[in-house]
Amino acid sequence: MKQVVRRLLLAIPMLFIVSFLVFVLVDLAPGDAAVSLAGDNPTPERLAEIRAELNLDDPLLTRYGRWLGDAVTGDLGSSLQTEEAVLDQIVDAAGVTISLVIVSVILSTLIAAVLGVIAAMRSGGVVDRIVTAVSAVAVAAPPFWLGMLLILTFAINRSWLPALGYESFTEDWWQWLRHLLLPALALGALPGAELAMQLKASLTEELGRDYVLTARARGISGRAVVLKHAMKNALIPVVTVFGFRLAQLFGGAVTIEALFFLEGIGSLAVSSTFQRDVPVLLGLVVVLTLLVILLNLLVDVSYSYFNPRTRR
Amino acid sequence: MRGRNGRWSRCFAFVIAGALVAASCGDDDDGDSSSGTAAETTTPASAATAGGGGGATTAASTSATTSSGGAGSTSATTSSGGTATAEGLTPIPDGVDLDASIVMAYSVPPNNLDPALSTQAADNTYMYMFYDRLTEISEDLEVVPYLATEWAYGADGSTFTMSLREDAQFHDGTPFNADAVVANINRSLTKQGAATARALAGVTGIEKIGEYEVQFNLTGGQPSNLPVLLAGNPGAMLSPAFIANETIDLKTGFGDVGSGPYKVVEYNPGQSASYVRAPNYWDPGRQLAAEFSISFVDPAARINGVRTGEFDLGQSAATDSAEAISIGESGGFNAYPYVINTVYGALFNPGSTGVLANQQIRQAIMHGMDRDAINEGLFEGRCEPRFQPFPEGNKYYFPEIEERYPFDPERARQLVAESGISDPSFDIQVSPGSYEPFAQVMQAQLEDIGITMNIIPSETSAVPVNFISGASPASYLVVLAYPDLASLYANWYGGPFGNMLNPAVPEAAAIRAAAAAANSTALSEQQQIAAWREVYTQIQELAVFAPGCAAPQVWMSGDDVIGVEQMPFIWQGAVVPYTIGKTG
Repeated sequence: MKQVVRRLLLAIPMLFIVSFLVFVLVDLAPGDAAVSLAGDNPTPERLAEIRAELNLDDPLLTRYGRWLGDAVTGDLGSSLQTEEAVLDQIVDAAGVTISLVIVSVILSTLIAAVLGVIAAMRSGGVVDRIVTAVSAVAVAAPPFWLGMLLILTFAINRSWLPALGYESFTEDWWQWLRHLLLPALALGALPGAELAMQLKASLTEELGRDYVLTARARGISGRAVVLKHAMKNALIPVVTVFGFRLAQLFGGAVTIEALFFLEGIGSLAVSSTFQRDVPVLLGLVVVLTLLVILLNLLVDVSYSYFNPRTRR
Repeated sequence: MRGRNGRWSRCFAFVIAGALVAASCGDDDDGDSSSGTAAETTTPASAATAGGGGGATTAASTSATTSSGGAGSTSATTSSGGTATAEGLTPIPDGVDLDASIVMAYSVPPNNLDPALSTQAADNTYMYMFYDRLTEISEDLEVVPYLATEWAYGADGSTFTMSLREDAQFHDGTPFNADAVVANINRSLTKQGAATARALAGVTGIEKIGEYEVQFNLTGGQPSNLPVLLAGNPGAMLSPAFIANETIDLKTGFGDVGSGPYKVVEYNPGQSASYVRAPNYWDPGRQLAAEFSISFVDPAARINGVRTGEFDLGQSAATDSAEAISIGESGGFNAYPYVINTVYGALFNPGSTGVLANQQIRQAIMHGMDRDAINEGLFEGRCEPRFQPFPEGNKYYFPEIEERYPFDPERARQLVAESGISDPSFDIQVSPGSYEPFAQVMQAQLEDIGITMNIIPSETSAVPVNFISGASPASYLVVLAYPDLASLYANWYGGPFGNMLNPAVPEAAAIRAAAAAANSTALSEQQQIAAWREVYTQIQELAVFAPGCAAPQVWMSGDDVIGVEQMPFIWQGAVVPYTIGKTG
């Protein structure tokens, strides 16, 4: 508990640093929100007007201070483009992205568990080699390319699954799942393959340890040895990789959401970046940083389940 | 052990459940919109009955006159086949499914749906579905009647009168009449930050002279192209009841303020707009679908979505046009390539410091560009080499402009030598994406004639801004499509991109004076065209715009989609898709 509180407190300076860095980077990039708001063929006078309206001519620290003052009270401001509350925009988009990440995590975990265990139990054999080769291809395949391939195969050539769009879970869970299967597979293939290889290596090592030989000598079935004894120890390094990958899934969602026309956090991040919509960008940074910190915390906490020594 | 497992499972289940609740929050609005849609949909048949006005329309549509006094016509009736509901109204094609929902994937997001404030041409696609305008531009760039049935300039050019339809109404039930037009034009002229005020320069006021007749008061004999301007944002009609209070910020909100064939039921700024058929609309042939939605979609998703039928209609990106045509040819969907009236090219500031201030260098660049090679090399022959945005056969197309600078590397090298400038070099700002390949090929071609062109990558929206402000001596841009020469001049050489006619250049003053004279209501249409021809010939001689070619846009649609080729403004790219329907 003490560790959890400490980690949460450490998140505060982290949020300051990350948000300030983003603020500076956006400011350093060519162009500004006024340019994108001014539309086609803007005159210098119109640009000056918009800059004045948005206080874009104020010094950087003044603008950051103004944003920060509101942010600490929970007010992340309004979008410069749509004037909608930033928090509302993020909450709307988060539902799509979280859905995508959840399905992706489930799929990649299933893929990793099945392939990893099979390969470890048949270590050095044909199955192991096939699993290794498939995993290597999945790791090398760019998610965008894989997504295109999946669309071509399962949506265009066979019409089994929709190529794009999103349905709400509460309205129709089956359609929700159908719409997310292809993007989740494209997004989850890489982490799934990595986890599979990690699990295979880790489980192979555990299966060679003395306690496993002892268990087998005592007549415990092979399945029970793997699933009840070796697996738990083998999962410790896997969970570490899983933690990293989970955070990266949110980053990978940017291209996948664009390809599958999912209006999630990734799409929001892209549009706000192109439009220099600083309040939305900063809001996303704050929320995503918090999310990554929480996910890492969750992973750390899970260590104590897999490895009791870390509880001390 | 089991206890810990149980806790872990419950914890995981809690996280999943929480996430699913969050997921369900993602599109609450969808539900709202669908319920609204069902409640507010009416059929064209009932709309036609309520709209009525066939006799008035017929009379109006046959007596429309243009600024030059020629007879106007209603191109609305040009669709082949179908059954006209009344003479002058748009026919409803045979076999169309009037209960259909249409989903369109578009390349540009909605930015601002207030016609007075919007400055992005692509907003028109979203706006003109629910704002009728006073006039319309046909595919052959003629001004045709819309809410206005006829118009004429006064004898001395200081007034402009319009007669209006008598059977139209706004979505909130307010009748459309002269009072509504007066309120709208006054809003266009006076709303703070209104881009329409600049477009209507020369209009000093408007007055009602009859229940369905208005008179614009003009000054200085301008603008000569008022009927054209009123086909755009200055002529978009909002309910006067809304104008009186302005309770909604139309940039981010919506309401029953429109007058067009569809009414908005959902609007997500920067993303999408959804519509349902407006009840009691005067021309049911423009509302062939019960529901319509337009969304900003990634280029790859647009192609995939039309292929799988999830989108009925989509616009391909310029860089994807070859792929879209290829898929169309293989039967994946219907592909309709259309060369819009735009030209990719380099803009030069002749008043800048550096080699571009030298006319011989600029002319050498014009001669040094091999446009056929650009067309073949980059677009497999589908990008039409052009020096002017108007296509051959159009009344604003001038052959001598095409012939002035043939590809002639020898002549180009000679001009460079005559300039007396050794190793000429200049910077050009180029945005990433479809402009880059053009610029790279141009760079290689200019290298052959001894001119070094340094490509400076820049953010898309910053490229025009830097040219306009004078920070960049050259920019690679696309000259946008306009329906007439006066509009083209007002929005380019005589407008924001006035640096192409930089006052520092001696010839600029004469060209500007000639343009002002050409934009006069005192001239007949033929006289105006002749005057503009002289203006554009002089601009061509100045060599401030080095064009490449005009690339096709490809519209992708499902087999059951009709009306693609008839979409208004297809020549501009920012189409208005109210001709789109689906067969049953």
